[in-house]
Formats: sequence, structure tokens, C-alpha cells
Amino acid sequence: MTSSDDLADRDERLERYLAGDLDAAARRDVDEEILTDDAMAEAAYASLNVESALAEAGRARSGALRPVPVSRPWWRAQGWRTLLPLGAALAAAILLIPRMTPAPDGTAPTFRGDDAAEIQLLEPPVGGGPVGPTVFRWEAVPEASYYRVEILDDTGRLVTEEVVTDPRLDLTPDTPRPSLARGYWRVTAVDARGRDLRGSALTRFGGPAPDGR
Amino acid sequence: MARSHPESWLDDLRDRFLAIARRRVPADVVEDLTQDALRVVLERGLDDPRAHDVDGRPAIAWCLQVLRNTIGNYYQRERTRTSLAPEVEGEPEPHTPKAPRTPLESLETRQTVTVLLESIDEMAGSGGECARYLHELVHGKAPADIAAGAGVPAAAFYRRLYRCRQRLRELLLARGILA
Repeated sequence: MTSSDDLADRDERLERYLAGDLDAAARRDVDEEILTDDAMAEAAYASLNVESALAEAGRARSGALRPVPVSRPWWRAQGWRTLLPLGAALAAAILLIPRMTPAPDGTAPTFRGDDAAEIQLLEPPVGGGPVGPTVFRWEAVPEASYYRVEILDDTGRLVTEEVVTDPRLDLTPDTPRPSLARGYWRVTAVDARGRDLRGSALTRFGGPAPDGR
Repeated sequence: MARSHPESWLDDLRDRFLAIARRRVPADVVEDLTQDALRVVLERGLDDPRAHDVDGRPAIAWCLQVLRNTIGNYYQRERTRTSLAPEVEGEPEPHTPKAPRTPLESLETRQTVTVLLESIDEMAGSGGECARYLHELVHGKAPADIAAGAGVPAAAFYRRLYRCRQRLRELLLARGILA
């Protein structure tokens, strides 16, 4: 049975822990509790969640908060109607030309945990580059209608999401982009119906963190 | 008790990640998201994160933050997927019915910020110091500084602050946002 005193003690230690206001021994105890006790881990996560929301609210008030930019492929930005004549021709071609790649059985393909099916990322090299890369390239997927590219900072937070039709993303000065010396990226190939076809592994780019890790 | 072998912290962390993720995302993506979060943790080169700092916070808390970011990314990805899905021909986009967000989805949206600020303001009407404390946190003040400014002993303040966050979570829950 957990007494109210125990809970109050836990609450205090957790708040102190998150605020960096515990001595080394007490902090190690909290670390251990979080790692071994679901209730403590949940409490810590929930507090972090509110803390992050509070911090985000602070950034919103200061005007620093911007939504993660998501670009749209040109054919989406201009609307489907502009593509109707092209679509009719394409439909005719599909009917007349045997398909090179058999359609799946109607279920969305899965790719996680299947290395052979992962999209191979070509540039930048894994962990390479002392500064943030400006060009991302990957293996083309013939069935893909477009690619969704996610760029994450080194805490795994999504900072840019781009949608492109070629297997390449150039981050130009015109592209809303984070200033990233290091982070992670991932590519997902998507078909015309919006279904994920294949994806890459989450892959690191850039140099080591400032603390050497 | 913690496991005894050298990689125990990672096994324990994985178990906690899975438990937290299961409460927040559909079952079929729990394992994937946990893998992503663990990959980021491992790439940071933490051999044993206990008693270390990463980016100015306890490393285990940093690991939980990575999981939070990963779960947030999942919901962002879902929104992108929905926004890019082909519309039904002949049905103008503004009238295309969009499925309402579930409370789980709302958890990770930026709309949370607006709801959160409204909730804090609501707390001001019910007395106590919670609204003031939380507003000061929003403005980036450290808990220890708020305690000193309020003339409250640190131990009492941290307990109050935890309860304030609890109340805030309850308000967010009542507004359809889990926290």
C-alpha cells in the first residue's frame, strides 16, 4: 500500500529530479525507480509532457514557435484537376501495358524489421559531415508516387518534413530548414493512394554531439 | 529490482518505453516507435545513463524526452498522411469529412498549447497559486527561482508544483487531451 506521505515524497523527488535539484545519490535512486517501475516512469513521462507543453507555450508567446513545415508535391499544390488530361493518358497506358511490378494483395506492405526491403539512403553518409547536409539522396522506388522525408534533431524531434517526387531533397535557402549540424533522417516511399510502400531506417547524419557522445 | 547484467538499463528502458507507448499509440506501431526512440538513445553513446546529464537534464529524463518526441512525430506523420491522401473526385476539399482527432492524437498536437494556456487561466479562477506558478514556468523561470520568489520552502514548493501539474493534466484530460 502506498501512503499519501510516500506519494508526496515521490512527487517532490520527481519534481526536483526534473528540475536538476537533487544530489547525486538521490538522483540515482530516481533513475533506478524510473527504469524499474512503470508507475514512476509514467509519472515522469507525464510530467515531462506537461513541462514540454509549458515550454512550447512559452515559445509560442515569444513568437518563436513555428509549425513544422510540410511541403506539398507540385501536383498536389496545383490540384488534381490540372492533371486530368495527363491522368486519362496514364490510365490508358496502364490498361495497355503489362505491369512490371505486380500489385500487392491489397494490404499495405510492411517494411520495418525487413532490411532487404528498406530504402537505401545514399547521401549524406551515415554519421558523416561536420555541418548540416544540404543534399539528401536515396534509392529510387519505381512504384513511388512521392517520398516523404523526415528530418529530426538529435533528440529525435521532427524539425522538417518535406514531400518530393524525386529521390533527392535539396535544402536550399528558399526551403524552410533547421540549422542542423547533426540529427536523423528517414525516407518513406508513398504510392498514389497515399499508402506507405517502403521506408528507410532512421539514420544519423552529422558529427558527434558537443559532449562527445 | 533492476536486472543485473551489464545491459540491464537498456532492457529496463525498453520495458518502460513499451509500457508508456502502449498507452499512447496504436498497438501496431508501439514496437516501431520504441525501436526508433532506442536508436536515438543508443546513437548518443550512453553506456549507462544513470547519474549522467544529457543536454542539461538527467539522462534518463532525456531518454523519456526522446520517446515523447518520437510519439509526437508519429502523430505529425499521421496528420501529413491524412492531408496528402487523395481527395474523392467531385467532393470539394473543404467539405471532405475529416475524422475528429482522438484524445490520443490531441495529446501531441500544437493545439495543445492553446488549450493549455486556457486551462492555466481557468486555474486562476479557482484560487491558489497554481496559475501563477505555471505561468512563470511558461515564461521560462526555474522552479527553484519561483520557490525563492514566493518565499516557499523548496520541499513544499516541489510538492505543490507536482499537484499543480496534476491539476493541469486533469483539466487537459477533461478537454479531451491526455497528458
